[in-house]
Amino acid sequence: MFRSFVTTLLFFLILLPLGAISGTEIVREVEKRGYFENSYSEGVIESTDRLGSSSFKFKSFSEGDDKVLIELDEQKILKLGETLYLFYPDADVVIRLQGSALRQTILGSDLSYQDMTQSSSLLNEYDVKLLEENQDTYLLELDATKKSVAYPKQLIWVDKKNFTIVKRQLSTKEGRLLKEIEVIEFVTYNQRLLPKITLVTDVLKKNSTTKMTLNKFETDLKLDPLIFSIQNLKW
Amino acid sequence: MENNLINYISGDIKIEDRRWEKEKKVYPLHWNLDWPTLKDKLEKIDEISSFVPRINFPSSIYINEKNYPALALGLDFELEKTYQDLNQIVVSGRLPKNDQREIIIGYQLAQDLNIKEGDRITTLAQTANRGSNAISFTVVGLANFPITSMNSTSFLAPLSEVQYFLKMDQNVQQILIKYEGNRVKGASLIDKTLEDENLTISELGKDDYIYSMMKVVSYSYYLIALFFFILASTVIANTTMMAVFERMQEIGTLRALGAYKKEITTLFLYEALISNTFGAVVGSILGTVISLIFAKVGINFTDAMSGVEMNIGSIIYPHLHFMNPILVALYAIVITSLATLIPSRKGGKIEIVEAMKYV
Repeated sequence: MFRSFVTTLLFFLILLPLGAISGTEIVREVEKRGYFENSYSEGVIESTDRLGSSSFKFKSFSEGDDKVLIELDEQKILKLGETLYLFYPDADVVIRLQGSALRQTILGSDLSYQDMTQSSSLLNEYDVKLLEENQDTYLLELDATKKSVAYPKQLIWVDKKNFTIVKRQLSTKEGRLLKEIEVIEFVTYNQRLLPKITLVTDVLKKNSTTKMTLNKFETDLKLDPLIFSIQNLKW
Repeated sequence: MENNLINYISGDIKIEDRRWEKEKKVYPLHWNLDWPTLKDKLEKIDEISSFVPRINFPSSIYINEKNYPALALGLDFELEKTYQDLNQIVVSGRLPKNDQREIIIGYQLAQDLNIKEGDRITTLAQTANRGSNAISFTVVGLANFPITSMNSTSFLAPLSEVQYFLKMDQNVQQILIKYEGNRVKGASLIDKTLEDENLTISELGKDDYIYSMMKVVSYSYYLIALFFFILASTVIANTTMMAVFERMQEIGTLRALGAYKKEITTLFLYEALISNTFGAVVGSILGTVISLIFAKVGINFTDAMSGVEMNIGSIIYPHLHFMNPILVALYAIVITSLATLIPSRKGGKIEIVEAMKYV
């Protein structure tokens, strides 16, 4: 009797780690499911704070994780790797954003240009630890391995069923909350879940919220590679 | 200083959006003024001598992949002619023309960023619809602003170009007004005429602590003047007293010859009066000439005031009021005459016997 009990216990102890999933694996799965060779999307960014509200339409083209072109009402933002370029029709030059300029908000919203410069994979910049797990979500804690990242600590809630991020809290090294991102509505695209409506809150700004709504999403497109070049940044 | 505030900061009276006033630290340009409508209404107020539209906004100048902060001021260069003589600020080149993408830039800022006349610069700013925008301007001139801090921080651009750049249509951020008469009453009159609760109409000095401070300081000048008058009176009284004692021999002789005490007193009083009047008149003329010269060329404090963040010009131009030299001369004559009265009377009271000791 005792022998069979020990055998059963050992069996479970050996098999348990095989069934459990690590934080790194969760992030890898999330990124795998969120990756598209290329994409085109359209949507609206609506911001509200104590100074009023504003609304901008955007169009976004992407190729992999490294090449992104966003067209807003008044400007174009080109991301090549971790470098950002801004194009304005009345300026003689294309502006390369770096240093403190990256902390500027995009169109007065709760998003900063710095938010766009993160690496293609969180695993390149963070150590991941699975903090909690309940019936629906995994809670991950991310600690930065590089000093250059905008948010040294992150808490991420991942939906267990679809491996999609439902909420993120971005903090300083000491754990002071800076920004909160929460997906409040998803849309299914080719059997994958995409965030339809996302709320971004810059905690440092008083009564400020930004709502991003995705209205159109397409993948597997034949994008002209030239659209991701500085030379092609013109209306 | 008052002129600087009137010309660049607050006018005699300033109109802004009430909400802007509360949040002005973050330059919420979307809370602006409907310039065409307000212009029509202000033109009907006879007491207003001139008024100009302005847009103040923070920007950054983009040079060699770096951003340098700058303050920009959009103004209508044609309308400004009715408000102030902007040609005075031009140290080289010229003022921008309306409807041209041109700027004139503070000479120190130009020096710091190695910008020269004819260069094209690109500047970024937050727009009135709270997005961002960038635009390139041609630098057509370098400026030496009467407010020192502006030389290292600011540039001026045509209003229409700034309105286009900041997506403000025909709106402006503020209107500065030159008003002849009582400013508080003027602000009240404009407030009643415009009848818009979204506007804040403030007179010069209402919210400017430096201006208020300078007003307090100006009273201390009277105390300093009083101190110098007392000092000068003491010196004059002492000098007259010395003259009386040094001339005991003369007093003794005059008294022995039959001069009355009153005549001796009058003698010293007249003598002091003549020299005091001469001194006061010559002093006032000299002071007037020096003031007129400095009023023209100014007293240059540029080096001493570099880095001082106040609305005070680096070149001080003394203002001479016509009545001042006359009043000061009369005042000096009266004070010095009073100062000589006591020693003169003392001279007259000297007894013959005592005075004869010195003969």
